[in-house]
Amino acid sequence: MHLSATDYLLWITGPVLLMLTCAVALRRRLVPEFPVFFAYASYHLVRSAVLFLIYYRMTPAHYFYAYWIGQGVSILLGFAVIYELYCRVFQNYDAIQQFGGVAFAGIAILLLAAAVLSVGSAPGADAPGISKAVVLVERSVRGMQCGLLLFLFVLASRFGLSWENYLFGIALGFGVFASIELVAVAIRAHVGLTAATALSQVNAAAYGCATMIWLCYLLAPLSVPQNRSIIVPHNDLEKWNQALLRIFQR
Amino acid sequence: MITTIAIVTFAVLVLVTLGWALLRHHGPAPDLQTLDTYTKPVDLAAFRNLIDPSEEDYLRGHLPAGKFRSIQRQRMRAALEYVQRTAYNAALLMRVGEAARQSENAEIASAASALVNDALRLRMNAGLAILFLYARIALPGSRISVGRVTDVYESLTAGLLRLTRLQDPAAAPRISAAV
Repeated sequence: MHLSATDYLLWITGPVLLMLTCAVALRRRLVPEFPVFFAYASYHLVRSAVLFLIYYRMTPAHYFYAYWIGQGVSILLGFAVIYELYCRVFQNYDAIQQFGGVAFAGIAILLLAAAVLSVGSAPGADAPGISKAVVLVERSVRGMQCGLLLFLFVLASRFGLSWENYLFGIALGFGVFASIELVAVAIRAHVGLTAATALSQVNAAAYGCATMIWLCYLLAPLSVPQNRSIIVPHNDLEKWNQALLRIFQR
Repeated sequence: MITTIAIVTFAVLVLVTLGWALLRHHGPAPDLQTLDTYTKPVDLAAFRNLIDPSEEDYLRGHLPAGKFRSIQRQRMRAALEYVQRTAYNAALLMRVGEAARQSENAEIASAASALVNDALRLRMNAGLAILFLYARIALPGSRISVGRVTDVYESLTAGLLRLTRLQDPAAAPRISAAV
């Protein structure tokens, strides 16, 4: 298959930005804070290089199998990163410290059930059997990732939780990538192989966009505690809670 | 076709949510100087009256059933508004507390941490209370109970006593009036 200049540019952009992301994470000693994310980024960096070599040195069949095996590992790591996000968002709050893991598990089960129910909709008629299965699995996976991230943002908002900057950047990048990829996979499932090249470029562009977001947030200056006197305000939480308590005591 | 449209709509919803979260994340955070411009006042006495069981029993005993249900619905809607306001104010206090958690003064940081957790508990219980009130709006004649949550509230008192000791005497009256 012949690759255009755009294909090469998109193929190279993601790994280059990812390499910079990993370098910044190492330099800022952020790896212990986001070990799974760092593993995910490193894995993709190595995978891109290996796939590039296989593409030029081996047969298309080798590339096909290498790509999809690698994609399977990538999907598992992607879910692990989202799990890490759930745990990190809630861990700063004693009242709901354990909630992250529970929420992740519960929402993942619900979304898995929804994904299984949506299997009835078959991909485009012109796609061969294995491609149909792959597109279907990919669509379900991206749908689950989008759903998990959507719930994470909604839960954080409902509880009024604040995000650390890095954490927000990782979730934002992942969300942008997963949702654009979901649109691309859904369209591919509908129209078949005719739009494969264009959608492949959309996929690469979305990935480049996500890596750019990660890099920007990792490069952003650390928030420094302000020198001005910070006062904890007096408040009526106790009274409000006592009043709320009376509702429950009816 | 319907599945494709549904999936694309869902993906767009996720992107819109991300955009909204982005704006919120980088939007101005309330500080103590401007806190009173963000908070919503809560008339605690009126709220207590609305959820007072004896008040409800009095109305139940002195009004025809239809009239009682109508009035009770209005009372629960008003109570709902108060609960939503307290949850909103608690979210603001959480953001102020988050900023104070970064203080180099360990005592303030600790008190701020307690404030954040207390406010978080309030938001969680306010969420439960909202569901409870909606149920009572739907069934105004019922005596629905979701059980006791006193354990949660007991920890609030201890945290608040500690916070009060740390407040700035000059700023306290204004802030107190605001929230």
